[in-house]
Amino acid sequence: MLGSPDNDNADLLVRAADGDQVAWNALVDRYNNLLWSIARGFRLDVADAADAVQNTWLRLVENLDRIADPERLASWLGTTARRECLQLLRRAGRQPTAGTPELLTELPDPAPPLDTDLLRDERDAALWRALESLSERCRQLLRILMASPPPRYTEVAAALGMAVGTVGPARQRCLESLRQLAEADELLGGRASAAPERP
Amino acid sequence: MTDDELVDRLRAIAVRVDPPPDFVAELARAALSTRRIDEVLAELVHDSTTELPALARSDDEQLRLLSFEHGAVSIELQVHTVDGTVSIRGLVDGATGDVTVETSRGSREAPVDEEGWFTVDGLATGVLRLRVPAGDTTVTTSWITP
Repeated sequence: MLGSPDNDNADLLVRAADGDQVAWNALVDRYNNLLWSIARGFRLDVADAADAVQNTWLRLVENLDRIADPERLASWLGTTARRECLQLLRRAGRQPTAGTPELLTELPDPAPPLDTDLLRDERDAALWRALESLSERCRQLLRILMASPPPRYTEVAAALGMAVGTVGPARQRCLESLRQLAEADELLGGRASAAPERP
Repeated sequence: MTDDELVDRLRAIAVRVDPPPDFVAELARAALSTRRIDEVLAELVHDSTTELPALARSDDEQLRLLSFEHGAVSIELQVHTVDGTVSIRGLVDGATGDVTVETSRGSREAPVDEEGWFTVDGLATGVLRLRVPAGDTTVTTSWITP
């Protein structure tokens, strides 16, 4: 692969549109983690996040020969995934009106807490707990930034419906909040911002 | 720790505790099989959920109105979801045969009456799309999430 990681999207799209499974798999490998991170950023549980990701891929299949700007495919996928997540939230009655992701800040958490037993490192565990205690917008932003490979700001902006220029400042602010929460958590032996206990 | 180092550390945590499950990637790879090169896509021209959230009658019951068009073919849908079961009442214009409802679990035929009406009941929630023959081609709607 040469230069920018997305510079062969055009080629992969053309081949996938022709039914080339290898090319399609390459696109899936490249962006599936990003789509998953977006869905989890919206606090969808595993089943709903899987639906949102799959619906996004189905929409790409039907639009394979309509992607006008292949270099911006990740942003197209991010925007599509965001719409799918909002539609699933709406269907589940968790969002009262259309097109207002900010309202998610008011909503209770439908996703179960993750198994922090996987995190033996105390500081990692504190960071993960702190993430859950952040404001909804910050948690969502950071969860998407945690996608691998690292997403570009344009892709993050597309997934969140925000202006590209606001991603950097928001990232800085949210990371600072995260640091403070994680430090408080560690000082208090992991109880300060622990997620509610559930089975 | 710099911001970049912190984000890298968070990314490493996410890889361990919240990676996409294998079945998600497997379904994604299989999604290519839904491509139909010989068919044309009807564009969504109207969707009530983008403008009329009040149609959601309650948490368990929702009504969604959708319109698709391609050339001379139009498809109007009332998608009604009650307690996790989806029923569709539809009106097609310009079709030359019966409607096929395609879901992730398979497909079903629905006869279209003389005036263009058809009904499909008892679908599970999840994505679906409709296909209708129109002359020498087949028109497919984009995927709908009821």
